[in-house]
Amino acid sequence: MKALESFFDGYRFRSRLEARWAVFFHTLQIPYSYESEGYDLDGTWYLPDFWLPEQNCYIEIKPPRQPTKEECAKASKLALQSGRDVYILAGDAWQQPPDYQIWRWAPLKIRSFPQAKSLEQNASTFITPHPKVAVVLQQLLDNDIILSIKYGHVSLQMLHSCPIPAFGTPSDIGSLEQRASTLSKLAPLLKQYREDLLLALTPEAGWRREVYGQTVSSGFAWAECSACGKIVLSVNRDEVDGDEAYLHQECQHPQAGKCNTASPRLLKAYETARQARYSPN
Amino acid sequence: MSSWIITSKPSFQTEWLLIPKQENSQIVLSKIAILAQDPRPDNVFKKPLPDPYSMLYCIRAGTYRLFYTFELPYIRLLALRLREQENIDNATLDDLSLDESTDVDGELAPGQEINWHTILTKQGQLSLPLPKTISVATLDSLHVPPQYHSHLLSAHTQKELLNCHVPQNIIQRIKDALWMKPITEILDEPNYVVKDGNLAEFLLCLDTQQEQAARRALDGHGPTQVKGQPGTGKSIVALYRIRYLLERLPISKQPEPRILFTTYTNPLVNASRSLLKQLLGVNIKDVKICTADSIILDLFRLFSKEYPRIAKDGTLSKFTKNAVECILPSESIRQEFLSKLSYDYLLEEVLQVIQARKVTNLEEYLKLKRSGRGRRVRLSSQDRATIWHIYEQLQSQLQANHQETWQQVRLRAEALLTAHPDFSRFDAVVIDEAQDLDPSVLRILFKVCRTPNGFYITADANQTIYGRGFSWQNVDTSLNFQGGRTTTLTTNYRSTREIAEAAHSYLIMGAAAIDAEETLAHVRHGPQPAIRMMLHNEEEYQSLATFLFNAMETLHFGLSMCAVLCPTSKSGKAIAAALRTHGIPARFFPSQELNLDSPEVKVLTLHSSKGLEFPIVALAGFRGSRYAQAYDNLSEDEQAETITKHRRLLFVGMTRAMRMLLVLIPAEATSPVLTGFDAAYWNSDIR
Repeated sequence: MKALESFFDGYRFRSRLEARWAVFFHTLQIPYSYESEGYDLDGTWYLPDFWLPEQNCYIEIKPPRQPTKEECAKASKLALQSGRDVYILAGDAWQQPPDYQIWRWAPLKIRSFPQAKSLEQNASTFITPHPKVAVVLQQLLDNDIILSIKYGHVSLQMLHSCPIPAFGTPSDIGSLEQRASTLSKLAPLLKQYREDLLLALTPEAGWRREVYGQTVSSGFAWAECSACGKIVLSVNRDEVDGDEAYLHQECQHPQAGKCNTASPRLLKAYETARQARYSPN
Repeated sequence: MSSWIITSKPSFQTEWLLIPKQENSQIVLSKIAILAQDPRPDNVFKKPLPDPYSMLYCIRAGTYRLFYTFELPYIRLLALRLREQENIDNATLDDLSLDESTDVDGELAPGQEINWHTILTKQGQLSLPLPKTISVATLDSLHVPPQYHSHLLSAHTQKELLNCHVPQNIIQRIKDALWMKPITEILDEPNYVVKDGNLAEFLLCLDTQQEQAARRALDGHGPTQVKGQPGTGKSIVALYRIRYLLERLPISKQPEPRILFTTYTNPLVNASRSLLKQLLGVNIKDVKICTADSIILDLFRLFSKEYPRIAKDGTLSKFTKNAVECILPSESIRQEFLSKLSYDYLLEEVLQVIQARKVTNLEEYLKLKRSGRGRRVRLSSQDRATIWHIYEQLQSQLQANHQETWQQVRLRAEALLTAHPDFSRFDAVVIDEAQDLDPSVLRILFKVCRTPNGFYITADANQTIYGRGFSWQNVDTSLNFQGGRTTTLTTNYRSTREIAEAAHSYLIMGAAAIDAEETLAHVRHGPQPAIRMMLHNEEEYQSLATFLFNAMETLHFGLSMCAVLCPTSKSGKAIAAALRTHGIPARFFPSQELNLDSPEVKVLTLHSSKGLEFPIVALAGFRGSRYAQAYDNLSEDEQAETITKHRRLLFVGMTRAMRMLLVLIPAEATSPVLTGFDAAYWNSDIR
């Protein structure tokens, strides 16, 4: 079945589904650009649907189903190489969560934090490394190998050195071969980007740096901050345990606001998207 | 991105079946989909549990929590629990059922000792009621076929449920549904991998070492071997090997089976057939599954008009006695000869040395190196000449009666195979428990395999009936497993550490010749096995009945999961009858007739128990048997050899036990076979 092209806000959208999300963004005054820039991800061409500059993320719109393997692989590569969050919105804009599903690929990050524990809470910052450095570090992590800098030297550490009973002792030894082959494949890259790796992972005096690998999660929802009123993609409270997760982390207010997934503004935007009519050309 | 493989535990599968479908299954599936992308924690949705369980993770799925763990490349789905059942917000781990002392499925905490005195003396208490009533809705959710509903719905106590006349896998599923298992126990369950992307069908998942063994040298230039102690999963590896072999065989339009799977005993052939059916689906048509001897009889059906008439054991013993009397008519000379070599040993020498090695005349026999025969018994030239004459006499008696030994039949089969090069051979031959097959049988099996590369065997050094001198090269010169084509498995999944160590200590106490072995890892723990002396048969029967009843209650297994292993059919039949009079349904099964699905306690001979496993095992019935007597009637050399052989057989019996083992021996026994139970490993009443 061919998707219906639709015009809205000066853009020609490939499907009604995408156009309805554009109406949703427009209603909420979220700045967006549609198919503005394509990327060559190691030979795969990828043109993400939306770029939201205020949210600093890419959005890919999909019908209401699980994303396919290929869709996931593309999103994962884009997040890793761009250093930005990539979301797949699977479902229609006029439905409310959990009827649409939002998946997120968060890029690899390097966290820099003071060695003194007392300062740790507030002073930590995240650094987005050079895309090639991110790719090397992530490939190592995917094989349970952590790269760090000790006394100015590159140090490789193996995770899961103490296997758990469910896997039997031999699995750890069994994966050695795989890790060895990964290392030999990555050795030229490690050599080529040695200086960049050292630069990215060497902390300032009194500070530490730690690599946080790429993560993929689902269970997000659009929400409005109760304090600053910003529209953000936040954790849906029905998807997690505990309260801390749906505070607006980046809120500029002295007391961070709570993320409300059913604020009047949001409900109105869903309704507007549902009722939107488009000219055929 | 890493590539993850989703596997699950049987408990998870049961809990998945039990959740109300409409509201929840989509949510759970979407969570599994996200885990398949990456199970690593994001600390928002996917979180590790608090220490010391930080290797376990959970993700919320609607009103449920999905517990899992992972290690490249596998994700293990463990449990699916209602959020209110499993409160982790408050980190109240007691509620998490992580507490190991909760005994649900025969899992006792490491080092936790059971009271053997109570197990052996506590008299029939009333069985405990079930924690929840079984409903039709539950049975439907668990996909229990309707024909079993009436049996299960009428069960109100544990005993009634455990002994319901329905297949054990169904009882296990209901047990998992009624008693929620602690998650740490679920970790020890076997892993199943989703078959063809369908969440309703799972296949047993091999560990990395087993997986490597199953795939080892698929493109090698010679035969491949998997070694391992009992319980390390050799048989399942052999079955997976067949799967991998089939995947690689080019598609053929021939209707004949292309792979032969064979082993020593009928029970093991039957058990393997049902597993292969699950593993291969319709492709099972490409595999011929039978005992090694039935392949030999097939050759006669195809190529010979003379169908063999095989002499039975009793007939052979009778003929041997006659032959000895005929060759050594003088009573005193005969006794002197027999003091060195027993009738049994003589017959074995004839069958396994003279016939199996195709010795055609006395001169050849005099020069023969008897390396496969165990090296303890030395034979002088005079002895050999006497044996040769006895052999000739035995031969003529067999001919006169138109009978043959199995060894002769095998040799004839081999000749038939050589004479018919057009025989359609198998692309691959997979042999389980090869150490139990006669070299002549292995030779035939090697010949029915098209190329040496297709020959795959599993073998166990400790269980071997051959002496140390046995060599694969004796079977066929091209049968060698060097060059990286041997794998040794080192994780015991069957027995608890306590049972495996006790059995091993018994084996080495007898100074039995055992191969240098790798250190074994054990997945399960449990109580020490026990050894008890019995004054008379009635005491033994009473103790057995009490033990079986109490062990069943303690470990929550049905009586059909218990086995009593005996040295002889005679003692087996007596025990089965005695247990029935004590109110325990029991049946003696000859090797050909074993039905693992029957509801009774299985009474078997030690011999026919090879390759099988049971949660609860007792070794009994030694009074009056060969094993209980002193071995004084044998020469010193033959004594040592026979004792070693008998101890190995008892070791085989002990290692059939998965959770609980009891050995009952006659108090008056003087046999060296029934000694050597180290008190460090055995709960013993022997002073």
